[in-house]
Amino acid sequence: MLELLDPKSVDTPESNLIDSLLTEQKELSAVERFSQQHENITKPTQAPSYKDLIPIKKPSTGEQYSFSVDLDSCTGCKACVVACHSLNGLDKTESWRDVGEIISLDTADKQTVTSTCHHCADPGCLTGCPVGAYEKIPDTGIVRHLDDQCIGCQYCSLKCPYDVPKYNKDLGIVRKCDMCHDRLAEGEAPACVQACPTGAISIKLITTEEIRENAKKQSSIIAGAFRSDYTYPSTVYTSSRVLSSTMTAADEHSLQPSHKHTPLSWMLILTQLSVGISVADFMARWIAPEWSLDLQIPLTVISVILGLVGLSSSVFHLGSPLGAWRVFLGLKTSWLSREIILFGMWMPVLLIYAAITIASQSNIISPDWLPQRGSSWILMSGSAVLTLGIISVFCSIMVYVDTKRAFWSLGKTSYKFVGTLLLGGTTTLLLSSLVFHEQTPGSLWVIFVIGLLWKTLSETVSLLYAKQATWSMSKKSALIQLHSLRSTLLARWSMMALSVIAILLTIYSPLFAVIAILAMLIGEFLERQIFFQAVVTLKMPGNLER
Amino acid sequence: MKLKNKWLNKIPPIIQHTGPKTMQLVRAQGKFGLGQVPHHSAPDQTTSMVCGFCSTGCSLNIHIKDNQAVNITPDSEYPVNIGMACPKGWEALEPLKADDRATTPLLRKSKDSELEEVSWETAMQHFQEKFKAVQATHGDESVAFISTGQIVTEEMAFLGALAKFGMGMKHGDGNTRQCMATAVVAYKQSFGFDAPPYTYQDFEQSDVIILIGSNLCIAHPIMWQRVERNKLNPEIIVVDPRTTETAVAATQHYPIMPKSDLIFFYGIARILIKNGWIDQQFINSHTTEYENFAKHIEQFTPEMVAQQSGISIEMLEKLALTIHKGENVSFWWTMGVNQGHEATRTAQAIINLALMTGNIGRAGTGANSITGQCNAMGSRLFSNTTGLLGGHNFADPAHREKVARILEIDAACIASESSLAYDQIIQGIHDGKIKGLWVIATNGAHSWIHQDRYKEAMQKLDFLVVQDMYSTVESAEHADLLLPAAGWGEKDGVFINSERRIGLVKKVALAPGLALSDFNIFKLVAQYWGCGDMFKKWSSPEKVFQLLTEITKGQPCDISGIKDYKMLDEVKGIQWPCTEEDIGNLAIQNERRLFADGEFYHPDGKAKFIFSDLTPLAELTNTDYPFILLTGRGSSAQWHTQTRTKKSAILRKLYPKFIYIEIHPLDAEKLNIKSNQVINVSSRRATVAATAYISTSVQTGQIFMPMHYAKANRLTHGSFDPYSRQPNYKYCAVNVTL
Repeated sequence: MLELLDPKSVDTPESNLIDSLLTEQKELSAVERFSQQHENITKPTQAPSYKDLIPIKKPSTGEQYSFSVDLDSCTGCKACVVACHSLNGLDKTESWRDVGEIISLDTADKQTVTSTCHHCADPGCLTGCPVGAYEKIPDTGIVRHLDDQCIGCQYCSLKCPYDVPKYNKDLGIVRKCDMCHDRLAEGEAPACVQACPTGAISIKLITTEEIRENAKKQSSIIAGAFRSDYTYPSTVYTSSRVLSSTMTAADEHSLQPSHKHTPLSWMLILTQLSVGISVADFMARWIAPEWSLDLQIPLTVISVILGLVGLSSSVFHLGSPLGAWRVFLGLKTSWLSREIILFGMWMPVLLIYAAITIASQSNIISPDWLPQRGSSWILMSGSAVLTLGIISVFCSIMVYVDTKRAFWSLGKTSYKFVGTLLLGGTTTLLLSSLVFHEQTPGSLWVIFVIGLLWKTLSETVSLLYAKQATWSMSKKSALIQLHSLRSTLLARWSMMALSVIAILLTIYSPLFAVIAILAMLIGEFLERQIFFQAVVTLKMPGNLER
Repeated sequence: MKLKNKWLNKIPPIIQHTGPKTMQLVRAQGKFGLGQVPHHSAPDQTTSMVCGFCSTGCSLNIHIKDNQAVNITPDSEYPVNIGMACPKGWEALEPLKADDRATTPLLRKSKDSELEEVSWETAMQHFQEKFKAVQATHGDESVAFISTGQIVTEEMAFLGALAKFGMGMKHGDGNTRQCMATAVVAYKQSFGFDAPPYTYQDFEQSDVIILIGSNLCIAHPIMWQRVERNKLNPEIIVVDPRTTETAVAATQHYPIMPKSDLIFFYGIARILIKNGWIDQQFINSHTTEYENFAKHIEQFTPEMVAQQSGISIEMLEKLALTIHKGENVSFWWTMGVNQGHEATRTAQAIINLALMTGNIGRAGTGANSITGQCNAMGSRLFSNTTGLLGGHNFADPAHREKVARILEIDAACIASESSLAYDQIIQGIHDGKIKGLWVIATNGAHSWIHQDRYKEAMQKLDFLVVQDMYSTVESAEHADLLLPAAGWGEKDGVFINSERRIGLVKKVALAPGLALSDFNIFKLVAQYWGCGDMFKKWSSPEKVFQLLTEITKGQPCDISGIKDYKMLDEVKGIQWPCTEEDIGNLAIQNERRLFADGEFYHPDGKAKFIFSDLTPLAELTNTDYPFILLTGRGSSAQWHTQTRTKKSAILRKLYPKFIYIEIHPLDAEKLNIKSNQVINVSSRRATVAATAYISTSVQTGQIFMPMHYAKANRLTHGSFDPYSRQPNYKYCAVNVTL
């Protein structure tokens, strides 16, 4: 900076000029010099422009506010997106409204589509929220997100078929459109309604019956959007043109992978492996009690460790974990709520079961007392662990099935999750036998291979959709795996292969068992990453690639 | 009791309806008629000013809190935009906050070294030494300047006067050459003065709106708003090779072959004449050369026109009939016409249509050129490049005397010849005639046609000075000296919009570091060059504005009725002409048009029919380069070379990040291209990789590439309209390969 304080230019007319110009540049005079408009006016000067775009009266019973979009007037200028951002003081890239496009390559048709929250009659976000952080306001029908109730689990983003709630990393919560409820309360129009230069967006009153009728009449609110009979969106799109039913979202063919949700991948595979090991352990105790006696402790300990790590990793997924104690609030409607509660009951029982198992094989407790009650305790706690574990995994499956996404259908998800469960159980059982026993029965190898085949088939069958002639969500997921996630896919199978080889080599040295388990863990983790990334995120029509 | 409450208060409620995160979104009652605003940016003062992006000239309310400009909403009461703005206007403050603002002068000590920070003192010393040295060796004309359409009028005038009267420069042009030169020359030749005749209300009062080479919905969304307010259920006709957003919203679309517009309009004129669908009375009273025009277009039969333009004879007749049936037909055009190889004659063909049907001077009519940049209109009248200040003529001694008298300078300082145009300046650099260049607020390294040739020219210069808001702008790459400039919002002045409306721009934010307004930089340059005395009357932008109003006395653009900035602020923008007599009527009618009395600006008071033969395209397609490349605007969130709009995070979300083309499905299929695939586009000049989007908005054999991506102009071909010297961005030959 020495250059800037040029010593020789102490007092020349030029340097004085530089200084005076720099001083003048730093003065702000606009507001003193120019008229201060409307200093005392409180009524919005824009009101005459939007008075016809909002309802005159408030909704009555059975009615709610809804967005109405006149597609003939929407030209895709995107002022609505930026106005929502500016008039709501949102973060740098945040806006609650989006503009996309639907196209038809056959008829050369195109139409821009502006959309935001549809304030559904049966909102997916609300039913899915485990902590009751959504309310459908009775007077207005507006679906409001309670920012301070939210724990940032982002399940609502998965449950909403229009991809409306958006996660805000800085705040650790999701946020979404609230139809500018406080503006409407004072007779002002929402930001987007105010800002559209052609008045394409308006607020209309609609009855719940009309919403349901619309869902019956038209399968979706617009081409490219999900079927309306899932959440009953209230938005109505009108157009004087017949928008051909062959129109599709402009970004329909985009093979962009969905969000990874890494902590959830760990949580799912670890809890499923843990439950699988309990199943294997329980079955072994039932079928071959003496043979499995010395395997019980390693199996239960591994089960506990995996379960604990799995459950704690799920906490890392939460943006605002402190409110998680409210998770019972969603029990009535949310599979996530149920999953959390059930796993929450499963873990203590698992710990008790493990404690009893360890105690029964060590000399901590007097040998007289145990044979009388021990086996029944083991039986009871073991059954409880098994039941709670299986029901919890079922809840895990339903969490994803309930999002209605094709890649997460009941069949596909159960196949995978149960596959992890089986593979975990059979592999751990086999490995324990290889490590701790002299000889391993052939039947164990058989069930291991069954587990392996189940898992492999569950993952590869979905890839066949890539060959399908017609476009579908399943085909898209297959293509995402084969193109965008190719390296993950290859890594996943390499890990699987590595773990199989290591298992075979365990015959020579028990150290290979460790490699086998690690490889299997990583392999399963990668499979779960693909599970999340290859799903087609349900959303409103977007644009050609960003 | 107290203890129990304290303990109870610590238990969090079952449902948290409020809290710190909820409070972030609370809104406050904005005073000043704003409606609710986010409470953390609720203003304690507001002021309004004209936007600095396009020439629509919307007025924006600037929310000021603790002397900082914190937010923008559109001005509800300005006649231009009536409370609306496009995404760029909403985000107009964001670019001012970018990290890469130029905050100190930067000097490159030698050709191979990097740019280093220096003081203004050093920068100015170098500036005048280097340029004077070049002039001493190679002549005064060897230093030229490139001005812009995006600084305030007072700064344009200062630059033009300083360079030409004070620094002895002969050649200077502006980036308006790239967008409006065609309209300027067309109007000058046809009407006798560069005078777009309309006011935006004409959009609302026209029953047949014809948009030619204009994607109004995307390029001028707030003008489109006026079309949407039209209650006459008008025919909206789009003439454009592409099915643009505007074409989708139109009632008739004529997808003519690229650059067949001249023959197309001659053909339409011929059909009108053949059917007698002309206003003979208007022609006789207010025009000349009609007979010759009618004779000339005899040759353009419907069959010939249909064959060249790809529009069927039926459709041609439909258009002619629509024009005939309209009571108030308006013709609007912008870059699709202006940026062509026979652009001036095409613009004049459109003017001819308006003249021959008597569709001019009345509400809802006109041959209306829509302007591009926020102050291109200011540049046309006051940049002192092609025309002498105030729409005067360099060649006219009476004009030179008048200007010299008002500015109190020696008339001998004013040249009698006009200067080279932009493309001739670039050629001059290649020929070694021009060795020094001063570039102000324009990014030619991205926007000039045949980009590689432009960059080669920059490297041939002895001394290149770039004056800009950002040190990272593409044009700074080859600069020897970078002068940090303040931007829109950091200085006072006026802009003139498409409908000739003069509006205020105000200083509501502080320029960062040592950046100075262009006005202040010119003051400095004058001082260091030694011609400071010549410009001692130029003490502030307002003083200069008042000088300029005096200069315009008696001209078609007479604005001597506008006393000062306060008047402009109170009356909400004033269109030219505005003499003292006009002021009184503004309260009743502040949306005025020209030629209501049928009097044009030629000495005989009549408009001229101007026409000529067709010229062949300079570059044709062939088997190696079989596609026609169209360039144009991508989205409403992108402004030109994106120097400013890409600084806004929210605007960046609204357009594709990487350069792309639109290609027809049949062409894509033949070439085995899948949507979103990266392909190569090559012209005879360069090859550029781009993403392919399959779209029916283009026809087969044509591809479209938005101009906002830096590499687009590597492909374009440097051919120019012979009258306007405007580059032809709308046609060159390319190939598409995997």
